[in-house]
Amino acid sequence: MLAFLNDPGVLHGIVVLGTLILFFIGLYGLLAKRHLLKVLIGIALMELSVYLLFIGLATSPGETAPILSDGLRSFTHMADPVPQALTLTAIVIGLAVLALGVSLAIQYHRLTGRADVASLTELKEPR
Amino acid sequence: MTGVPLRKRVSVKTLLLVLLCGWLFAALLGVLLQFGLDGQSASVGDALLERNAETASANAVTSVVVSYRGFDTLGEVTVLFLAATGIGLLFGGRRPADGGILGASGTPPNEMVVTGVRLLFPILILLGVYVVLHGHLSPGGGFQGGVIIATAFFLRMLADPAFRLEHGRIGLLESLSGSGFVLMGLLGLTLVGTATFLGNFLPHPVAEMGRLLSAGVIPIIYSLVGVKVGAEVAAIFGDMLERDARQSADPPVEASDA
Repeated sequence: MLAFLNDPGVLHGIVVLGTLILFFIGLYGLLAKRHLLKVLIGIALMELSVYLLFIGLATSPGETAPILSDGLRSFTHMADPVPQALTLTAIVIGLAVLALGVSLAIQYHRLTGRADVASLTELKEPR
Repeated sequence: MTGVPLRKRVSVKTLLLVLLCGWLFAALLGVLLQFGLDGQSASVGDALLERNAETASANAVTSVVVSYRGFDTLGEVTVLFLAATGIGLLFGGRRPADGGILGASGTPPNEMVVTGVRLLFPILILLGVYVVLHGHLSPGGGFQGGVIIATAFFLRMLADPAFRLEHGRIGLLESLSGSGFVLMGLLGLTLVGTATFLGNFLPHPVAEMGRLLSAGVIPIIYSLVGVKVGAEVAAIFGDMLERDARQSADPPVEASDA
């Protein structure tokens, strides 16, 4: 019944649609939410959708993980390892940058008692 | 939260803007996807997969991360280090005298957490070390294993308020593994005939592929990455929790097996 999923075009189309939806959910969170931590969660969602897109598009149906095990003897019919390696490093970078952003937000809240993006007016020019 | 109607919780203007962005992006994709798909015959990944047997690493992702793109990994570990330094700077500075808004949590961890962590801590450390050491054989490697080890220490810090990471020792571990990475790269640059940074200067016969001791320098470099990532992420967690630890007057307990 699900044989149509073996068509790479269909599978990649589903991946692109899903990650696009996830990306724009993240964008909505970034734009509409006013709490600093929620904004950061929106950014993290957008990051996540890009990772999913990379991994999803790098693999076609019938390809295995690029690892020799379980009786595999040669590096053929395997998924592209380069996007996987890039995603691996990007996840770690994303974690570190997210942690830095969260600690900036925590420090701001500790100093001012506010966590609302709309009230970040310390550097605003007085009218 | 439930009392607020949905119309008030969703900002319609932003939603419309996001939908417009999504529609425009999808339209752009629709235009772009008509070009270039049929002419694609081979990718970098295919070429790397063909050559991958020369690294004698059973995991092609690992040989890309550590060998072919090892220089990128070095830069990436540097970014991680910078982020950890920034977090340390933010949380290590002078704090308000009243302990700030967040400093009031003085509740001891509950019994479930303490017992669970006592059970989980050695298993998590073991799993982390396994994942790091088998990075060239199975899914995993320095980044994943390092984060698992850091998680073990994070749980321990949650369960035991008196447990504190020694920043001096963490820094030493971090700098040793970082300079070990660079040293390995420079050794590869001088010892290998092709003179590539991070060249595989140890013997790596293809026949040994799949064994624990194979692939030459790849497991060594990945272990160094694992130590570095573990130390940095643990330092991030430690910095974020430090506010509790600093306020309790308990003497610091040494992280003997960090």
